[in-house]
This record gives sequence, structure tokens and C-alpha cells, in this order.
Amino acid sequence: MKQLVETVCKSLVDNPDQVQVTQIDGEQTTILELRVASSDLGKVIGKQGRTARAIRTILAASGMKHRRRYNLEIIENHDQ
Amino acid sequence: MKKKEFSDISLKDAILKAAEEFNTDEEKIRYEIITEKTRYFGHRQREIFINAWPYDGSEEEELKSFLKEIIDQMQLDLDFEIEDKKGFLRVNFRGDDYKLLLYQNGNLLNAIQYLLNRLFSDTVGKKIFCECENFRKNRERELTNLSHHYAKEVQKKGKPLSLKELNPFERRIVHITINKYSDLESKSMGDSFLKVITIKRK
Repeated sequence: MKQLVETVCKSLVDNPDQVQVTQIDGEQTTILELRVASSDLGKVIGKQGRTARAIRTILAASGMKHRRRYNLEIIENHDQ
Repeated sequence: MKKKEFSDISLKDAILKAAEEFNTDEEKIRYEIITEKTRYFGHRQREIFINAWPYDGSEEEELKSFLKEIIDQMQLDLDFEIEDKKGFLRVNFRGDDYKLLLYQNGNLLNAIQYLLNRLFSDTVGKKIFCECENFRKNRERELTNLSHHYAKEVQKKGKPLSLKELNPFERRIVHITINKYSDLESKSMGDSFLKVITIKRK
């Protein structure tokens, strides 16, 4: 799943090498933390969050098949 | 993708110019029109500006491999084929997991379609439509029937009725159907992506 988010986001952004995904496994849910360059933040979120929602839908669908919840968190870097 | 600007008196001439520049046939040139204007220097002369780029099908391959990769990583049993239609590309999905694609009014299908359009519609130069098990056609029929049913109800009782939240494509179908009734009108309410349509008497 981590790879899935990485492939999708890398194709969306201008700086693919700055895409970072960390996976935190829980009992039933997996949290995926996505970090991108601050200039690319808008690209992974999209107009009114459409792109982010599309990625979450894709995660939810594959989660449904494997009985697991996936939570995508997009993390902003404040120090930049 | 290298785009270049060309201008000439007619669209055909401009495409020919582009084909010469890129060393290909004119059929392999994809273009978008920037502006078209008429000049009045002594005599009338039209000029058209286009953005043109060569297209050789490699973008379609890119799309294919991207889609294959994400389906693989989602670990779903899905297969797809791409048809090149006039004006759009159609991606037809099939496989054991088609129900997941259509779950919640084609939520996943729409998500994939949106992502593909964002990534590839510029380079391919066409819109991309995703289809699975005639879902779009059936949905259209279902919505037309539903809005006819609602329209009759409103005509009978005079009270306005609202449909469920619909996306723009679906709302369009409802509006078209309601427009056929001369005494009814339909309005979209809300300001998010999904809106509620209310049908009422004029």
C-alpha cells in the first residue's frame, strides 16, 4: 500500500524525489503519512481536495478487499 | 512533451507547418487552438494560432503501464483494455473485482478516471473515460427513469422533491430530463462537488 501511494504521488508532483511515505501499522488500521515538497502540496490535494479524495478512495477500495482500514495523512512541513 | 506554437491562415496550413517541423505525418500531430483572429490590414485575412506536438502512441503505453502498476499494487483482480475513440480514450475494466469499482455509485471508477485525466489527458490530448460492465449507460437510464418518476410525483402533489447527492455528470442527466417538462424546474443546491437537485413547479 505504501508503494501504491508512492507511485501515484510521484507521478503527480514536480519533485518526485521528495515524496516520502511512512507506514504505521495498527491492529486494524494502517496510517500512511505522506510528505511532499511544500510547493507540491497543492498537487497532491487538488481542487477542493479532489485528488486527495481520489487517493483515499483507491486506498479504501483495496482495504475493503483485504479487510483493513487505510488512513492517509498528508503532512505539512512547518519549518520550511 | 514538446509543445510549439504555430500560426497560419488556416488550421490545416498550421498543422502542415507543425508536421514539417516535427518531421512526421500530419495525422500524428495533436494540437490545441490558442486563438483565432481576423486581421484588417488593407484586406481581410484570418490568422490562427495553435499549440502543436507530435503524438506517436507512446503516451498511451505510459498510461497502460501506470494503470497496470496501480492495479497490481492494489492487489485487485482487474483487467482492462483501452479503445481509441474519436475525441476520447475509453478504458474498459473487467475482472472479478468489478464490484469494488462500482461500489457506492462507481466511487472507485470515478476516482481512477479523475486521476488518469489529471495525469494523462494533457499528453494524450484527449479525455479519458472509464467504463465497467456498462455502468455509465445503466446509471444514465436509472437516473432518467428516477427523474421521470420524481417529475410525475411533483406534478401530482405540487410539493418540491429532492434527489440524493449527485456528481456533475449525473446532475446533467437529471437537468436534461426535467427540462422536457414545461411546468417544472430543477435547481442544484449546495456548493461542494456533490450537490442536491430539487425539482419543483415553476
